[in-house]
Amino acid sequence: MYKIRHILCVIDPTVSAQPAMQRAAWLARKTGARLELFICYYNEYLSGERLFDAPSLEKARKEIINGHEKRLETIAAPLRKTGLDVTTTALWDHPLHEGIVRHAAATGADLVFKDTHHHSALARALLTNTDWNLIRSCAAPLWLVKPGEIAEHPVIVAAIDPMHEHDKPAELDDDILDISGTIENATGAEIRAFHSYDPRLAIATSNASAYIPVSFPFDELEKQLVAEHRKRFDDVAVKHGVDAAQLDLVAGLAHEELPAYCRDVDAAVVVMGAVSRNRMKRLFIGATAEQTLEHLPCDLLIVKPNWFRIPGEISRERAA
Amino acid sequence: MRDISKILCVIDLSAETQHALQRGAWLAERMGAKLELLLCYYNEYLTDGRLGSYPSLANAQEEILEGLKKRLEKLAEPLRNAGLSVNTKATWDHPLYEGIIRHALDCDADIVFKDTHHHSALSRALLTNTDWNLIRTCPVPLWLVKPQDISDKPVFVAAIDPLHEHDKPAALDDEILVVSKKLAGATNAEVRAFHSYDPRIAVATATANAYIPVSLPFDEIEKQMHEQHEKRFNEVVNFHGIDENKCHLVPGVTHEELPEFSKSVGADVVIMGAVSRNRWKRLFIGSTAERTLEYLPCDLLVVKPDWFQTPAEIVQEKVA
Repeated sequence: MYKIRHILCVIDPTVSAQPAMQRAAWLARKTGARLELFICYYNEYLSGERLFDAPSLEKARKEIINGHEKRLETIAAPLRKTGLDVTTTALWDHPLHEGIVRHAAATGADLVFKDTHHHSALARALLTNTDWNLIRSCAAPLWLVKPGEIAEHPVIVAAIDPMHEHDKPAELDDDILDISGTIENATGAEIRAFHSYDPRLAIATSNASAYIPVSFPFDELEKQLVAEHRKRFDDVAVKHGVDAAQLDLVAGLAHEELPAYCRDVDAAVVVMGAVSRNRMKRLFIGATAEQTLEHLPCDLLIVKPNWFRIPGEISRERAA
Repeated sequence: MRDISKILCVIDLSAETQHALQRGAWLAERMGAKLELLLCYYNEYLTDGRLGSYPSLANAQEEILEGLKKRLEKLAEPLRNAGLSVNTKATWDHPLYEGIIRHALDCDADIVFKDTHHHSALSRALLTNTDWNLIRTCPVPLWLVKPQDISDKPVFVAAIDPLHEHDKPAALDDEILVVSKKLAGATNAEVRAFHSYDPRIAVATATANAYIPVSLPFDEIEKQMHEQHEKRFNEVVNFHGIDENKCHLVPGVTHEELPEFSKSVGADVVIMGAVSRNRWKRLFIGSTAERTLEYLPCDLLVVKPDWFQTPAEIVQEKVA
């Protein structure tokens, strides 16, 4: 069971509505975790990195950070009155995603919350450069919150990939179901496990070859594919005690099927992996994950595989 | 800048209209440049021996690429009939942005065109993870095309930063203006030069500067800052021979003022820099650039500073 003791919530000092803070406070209340409100601020003009540093620049930075601390305390006060354990931190760091990743690692945060935006007419998430960089490099599970209240009994979709077709190791499925289970227990949510496979692929693959006789049994091939996926999917679900009624194996492309499925079951949050490694062990966001993330209609919870390490340069270089 | 003799257009076959191709062809015609159509494809199922039990896999990549090449040829045909010199290339590579950069280097492209999306009701650009990564790492000028036509007498806005306040070297301003003038000369466009500065921050920085006595009244400092920005801005634009009535120095925050200005002059393209280096020489998209890029209403041409080098791992690691 994944333990949630310390929740880090990124506050955007330029806006008044804080959907991430609401969601983080909701989960902190349900889990009894400590809630840390965090502002990471930087201004290139006031940075000592550019041109020269001076005592008055340093003073200006301190004043701005103090101002942000005060603002965080104002946000924290009503939350504390309701019995939550809330701490606040304002830091000067840059770029924003690295400041968040560094602080989450330094404080051992179990979960990071951040706002994101969503446009319903376009049915797509408006992920910023900072969001993509967090998805790629934040070691702790990352919950990207779209504005809106969460249902009383939210539906959690655990998007797993039991054939590891997207470079993901089996343990990641365990981690996804593990944290989903923690949230389920704490909040009375309902878990649904989702996996999709592309049936056309098997056909396309065989079709592409000159070596396959015309009589090649496409149906057989697809049947075999479905059976394999079904078995692995069921194995993973059984291991985590997910009811058969909550399992959905869907034929189709993940970036089309998962968003449609989330709308169907009115998902509150999708729990999934996103990063892959290439042969040189370099991290990137997988092609399927990239397309899928843009089209999800709900909150996202990105979980990292256990081989994941924060890129060395991010863990070392704090901005001045 | 180098002469523009080869224009690389990134093709997305899932799009209904090839805006990047239209814009690339428009420029190729006016500059007498060669056009290269690139389709970068990757399918994680058909890579690295996954599904290796299917004998057809060995040929699948090749046949898929052949099929894609045929579709590119169809797009190329009417352009060739119109007198353009067009080459097509379908390549198996991943992630997409790295594949684009690798091919841009391979074919010695002088500029890259790619589609992007814009939502007018939200007044913001919908930049994808791939777009952001190209903005950060593409070594040649990158033209991100919005789905709209370019006017007969286009307006180019060269967004410069003559005090180099965003870590940009002076040489970048020259590059931005040289590129703008060269493209404008070939396309019957007019060039407007734009620079904005934040008076509040300018004052805070100025008071950190020993040359300006802190005892000066606030208005006085602000006036001095304006004069300082004006002087440098005028030096740069005069050097490049931009008409006085096409030079615009605006007090305010860049990510608000530049999109606003672009709308008011009916800009077709904004030409600007985007990347910075930190003390460890690591590349990132500056925080001002990040916010500004999301709100521009028109095409965007991102130019790299002369110190820029393509990250070595991108040059080396072609996907199998």
